Order: sequence, then structure tokens, then C-alpha cells
Amino acid sequence: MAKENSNKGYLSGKEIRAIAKSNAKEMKRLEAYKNRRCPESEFLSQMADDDNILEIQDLHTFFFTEQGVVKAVNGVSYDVPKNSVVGVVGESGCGKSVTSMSVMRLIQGPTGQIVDGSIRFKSNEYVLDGKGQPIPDGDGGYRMEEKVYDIAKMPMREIHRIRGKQVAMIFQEPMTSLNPVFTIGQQLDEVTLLHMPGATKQIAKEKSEDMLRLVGIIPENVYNAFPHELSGGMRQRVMIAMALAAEPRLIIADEPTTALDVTIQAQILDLLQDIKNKIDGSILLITHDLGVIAEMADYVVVMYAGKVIEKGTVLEIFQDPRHPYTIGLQKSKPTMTLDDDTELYNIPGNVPNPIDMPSHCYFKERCSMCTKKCSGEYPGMVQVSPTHFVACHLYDEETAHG
Amino acid sequence: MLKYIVKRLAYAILVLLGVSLIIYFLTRLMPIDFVKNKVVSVQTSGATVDQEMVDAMYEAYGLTANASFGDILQGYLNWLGDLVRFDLGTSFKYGIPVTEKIAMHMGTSFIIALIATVFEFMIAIPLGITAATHQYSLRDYVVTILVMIGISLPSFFFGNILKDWLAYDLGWFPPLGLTDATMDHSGFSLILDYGRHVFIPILTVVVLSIGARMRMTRTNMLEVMNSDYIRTARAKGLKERVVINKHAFRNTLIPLVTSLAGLLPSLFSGAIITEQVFDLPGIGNIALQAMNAGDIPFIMGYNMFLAVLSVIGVLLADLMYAIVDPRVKLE
Repeated sequence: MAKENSNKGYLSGKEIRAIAKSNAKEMKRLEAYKNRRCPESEFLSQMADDDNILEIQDLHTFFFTEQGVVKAVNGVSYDVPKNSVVGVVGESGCGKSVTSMSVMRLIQGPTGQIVDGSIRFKSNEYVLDGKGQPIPDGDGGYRMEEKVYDIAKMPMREIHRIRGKQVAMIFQEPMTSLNPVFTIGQQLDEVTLLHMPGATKQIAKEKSEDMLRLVGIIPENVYNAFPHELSGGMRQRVMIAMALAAEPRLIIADEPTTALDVTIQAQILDLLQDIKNKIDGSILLITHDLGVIAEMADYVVVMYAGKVIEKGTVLEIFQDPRHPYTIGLQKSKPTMTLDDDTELYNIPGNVPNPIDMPSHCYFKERCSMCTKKCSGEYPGMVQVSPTHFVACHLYDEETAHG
Repeated sequence: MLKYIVKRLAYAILVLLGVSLIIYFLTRLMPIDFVKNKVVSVQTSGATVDQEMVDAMYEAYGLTANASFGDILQGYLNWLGDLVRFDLGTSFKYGIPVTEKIAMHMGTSFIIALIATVFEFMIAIPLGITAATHQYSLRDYVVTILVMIGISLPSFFFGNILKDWLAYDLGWFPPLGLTDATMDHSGFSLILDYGRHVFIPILTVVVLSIGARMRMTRTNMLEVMNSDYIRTARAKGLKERVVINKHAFRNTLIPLVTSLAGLLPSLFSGAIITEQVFDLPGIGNIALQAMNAGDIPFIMGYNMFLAVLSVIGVLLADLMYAIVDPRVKLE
């Protein structure tokens, strides 16, 4: 970590070498941990609440850069209950995408590493016989069992159990997220061939065509097309079809509409809404668009500078925001009733430097409701209702009450 | 596609016309005179040469018409007229038609270059991929340093070191030439004898050329590995091996295959310096001797031959692009 420096922004050669040395050591240790071989028992876990499908607890994901350690995700905890949509909001760089990438273990090593915490996921797997083949249940399907994995502790060689099959992801950039040299059909079939036991090319093709129809595409036109022949909205539909193909329990949608124009945005959101009703799973929706959250989410998690500062149901966050940052966010939404000459509210100031985080509340410098206490240590989570939590010193008394 | 090729070939003719003009005037401007060279060599052997004989030689080689610009232009047009009938004239130095001489020595150079190129790609591509997928690891550094040494070595230096070590010290391979003069080989043993003779030259060329190709593969692979669609492939649950060998490799291949077509002229041009070091009768060696002698028809013919190959190579590269990259459409 960079020390307090008088000539801010510049590091001496000595400091750079010290950073490089400690980074190399940490990265080596974490890479070895990622690539280790271990029995399944080492990453099996238990859910804290059986109604949840995903529990992220005290997750720390750091980037070991040449300027120092960037604590992109610094002690994040939130749950995704079964059959729900959880929206994660926050401004750019607050760690919302890094959290979701951590769930998929897609953080680019060796610089990016999950350092601490657990990601418990309830997975639904085929029961395998001695030869590693799934056992039919005599009802056309296969016998399934639920297992809870701690994804953060899983070695990389086991991660294919989760990716695609249990958790699927829809990315922010549909224009570049499809491989340009393979047809849409080839890329879709791959998912089925990979995850469905006994799938043949023919079965995979039928499944892919079904998925394309589900997302509102006529498969005849698109199955043999290359990605560059489709528009951005079409490509995002293909990405959604691809995510759905293996019938995952959790879909992570990382700003699925950010790169699309407004009319297509609405279509894609409707589609996600539709799909949420069709599949028996949950959606983790990451966005910085509060409108999208209001429309889609059941629960909302507000992140700021790598930490969760408030979480609750969508009604609680929108009607009774508690954290000054959330209040600011709500105020900075444009509304139709705004007078012509009223300027749109913005939260003053900037996010602190991620390498050099203060020990007090990260929002202190930008906060209009600061008290003396705010210069003290970072506020803990305060429960203001059974489902509503906030990390702010303003509500410290409420814990004392109950 | 066919229309595109025809259009490109039409352009190619224009390009070649321009190239021929430049080659012709540059060659005529060369401060080397074949007749003067010849006269000097005769004189040094003790004989006297009178002016009448010199004039007769200039006349015989067609080098008299040097007086005015019009004469030179006339010479170009004559040469061009022969060229379209695939007649490159008769070599001053070798005394046989240039086309015949090129055809005679092209094979040796081509075989050496072809084998070297195959090995170059077979070694450099896996090295580049492994360096890219293990970026900043010990493996990456070792591979990078070794190939950088390869790039930095001049071919005459490295060739001579290999020759000294493998041929003279260890005696495993013959140091010079293409065949063993003392033995009479035929059939398979003749091929084996050729193989023993070209081993060190090929090794030299391969070691020196791996570096650039490996760096190219590494850079491409790194770019591809950081792209969004690789992240998508990983998110699907594909094993890392499949992600690299299928999704990433197919994209890395695009510039590699394209560069392969661009290698066409270098397959036929011969390795001038390497052929000198190992005294191989390849086209590069022959061309250098012709150049030193001031053999105008051969120099012109050889350079035109390379120009034609370059133009075809560029066209092939474009066609390859359309084959390996579905985003590219030729029209």
C-alpha cells in the first residue's frame, strides 16, 4: 500500500520497488491457491439462510497494481434470495462489476485476486455414478442434488461446475462479447453440448433455436449468421439466449442495457422481466440506472467505493433512503415535474483515491449531513428494519434501540 | 470473388509496369560495366586488349546505345516487348537465357525456404501462445530472451558458428555445397545426402526467423486473450484449454495466415547471405554474383521475378483474409 506522500501522486523508486515486491509475493501466493488441487470437501459450505441462492460475505477483491493495491471490493456482503431480482447500484468504479466477476471467478489474474471472504452458492447438480456419468431418475431426467459451494475457495480447475451451468452472465458490451469467427449457432450449441448430459449436435441445435425464439429472434435468420451481421440489440438477445441455454439458477446481468440505445434498452428489460417469470431462478442485475432498478428489482444493494452502504427492498430504498449517498442518488434522478430553471442535483466531490482509502467513512468529504462521529472509524452496518440495512453513523442509535 | 481477383490482377499489371520502369532505369544507372569488368580481368591475366575488341564487345552485348535518353528509352521498350513474351534475355555472365538460369537454381532456394518456413511456424506459434498465456512468468521471459537472441544474431555470424561447430568440430554435417562430390549417390541416398547438406543452412534460417514470428504470435494472442469474447467463452464454463485452443487460437490465426501468404516472394528469392556462407547454388547466391558482374539482363529478370511474386503474395494475403476472417468481404 502506498504510504502518505508529501508530493502526492508521485512514488519514489524505492516505494515502487517495495510495492512490486509485496505485490509479487501476494500474487504468487493467491495464484498458487487458485491453481491448487484439493478434495471437494474443502470448498463445500453451508448457507446461512436456506432461502438464499447466493450469499456473498465479507468479500475482498483486490487489484495489485504498480501504484499500490486497489481495494476494488472491500468487505462486501449481500444475499440473493431464490426467485428474486437483486439490483446492485453505484457509480462507475464502485466495485459492483468486480463483485459479480468474482462470483464467476472471471477476475483477470494475476493482478486481480479474491483475497478474502466467501461466496456461497447453492448449486443443483447431477448425481454422478462411479464413472462420472449422471444417473437417470426414470422420469426422463436425471437425479439431482443440491450442494453449497464456496466459490471463493474453489480451485480454478473446478470452476467449470459453476460457470455457465449454474451461474450465467450477460455482459455489458454485446458488440464485442461474441466471438467474431464463429457463427451464432456454433456459439450457442457449445453451451448445450457442454452442460447437457448426452447432448448431440441435433439436440443442441434444437435447444439453441428454442432459446433464440425465447428471446424473440427467428432462428432461421440468425442461427448461421456471424456476430458482425447482427445489430447490438440482436447480439444482446443472443447473449441472453446463450446465458439461458444451460438453464442456470442465477443469471448475472452486468449492465445489460448500458451499451444499447434507449428503445432497445426497454425491449431488453422487458425480455429479462419475461425470462425471470419463465425460469425458476434469480437475477443479479448490476446497473447504474435507478430507473432500471425500480422497474426490475425486488431487493436493492447500494455500493460506494468498494463497500455496501445500504441494502433493502426496492420500496425501502426508493421511499425511505437512509444513507446520505442514497438520498443524493434519489435526488439526482431527473423527473418530469422538475421546473425548467431548477438544475439537476448532483452529489458534490469525487470518490476518494482507491489506492489510498481513508480510515473514516469514504463518503465523509461529500456528505452534507456529517457529524463529529464521521471522523472516527468506518461506520458499521445498522439494521433499520428487518430487511433494511445502512452503514452510516447517523443511525447508530437505532441499533441500540433494537 | 472472381470479379475482385480480375480487378486486382488488372491493377497488378499497372503496378508491375511501374516497377519495371524503376528497375530498368536503376539498373542502367548502376556504376558497373560488364564489358569493363571483363576487359580488366583479361588484362590482369597478362593479355592485351585493343580498343577495337572492346568496341566489338560493347556492340555484342548491346551496350553501345547509351548515348542519349532516347536510346535508353528505346532499350526499355525493347526489353518490355521481350518481357511480355516471357523472354528475359540472355544472361551476360552465365551465357544462357535468364529464365532458364532462374528455373535451374530456384528449386534449391525454394526447398530450403519452404522447409525453414514450415519449421519456423511450427516452433514459433506454440512458443508465442505459451508465452502469451503465461505472460510475465518465468516461461515467458525465457522464451522471449531466447528468441530475442535469435533475432539479434546476424546470419553470416550465426551461420559460421554453426558451420564451425557442427561441421568442422563435430563433423556431423558437411560444411559446404549441396552434394558430396566424392561419392556417387542415387535414389534415396541422394535425397539423404541433400538433406545432410541443407541441415545447417535450414537450422540457421529457422533460428534467426523464429523470433519475429513468435513475437507476432505472442502480441496477437495477448490481444485476443484480453478480449470480451474470451471472457464470454470462459463464462460459458469451457475449460481453459478449449478457450485457448479453440476460441483464442482461431482469432490469433487471422494475422498469421495472412502473413503466410505474404511470405511468397521470400520463398523464391533465396537467402543471399546464408547461401554465400554455405556455398549453396541457390538463386540468392547466383543473383549476387550476377550483380557483382554487372549482368544487366539477369538483374532485371531476377528483380521482375520477385516483383511479380510480391504482387501475387499481396493478392493471396487478401484472399486468405477473406477465408479466415468472416468479417472481411472482398468486392
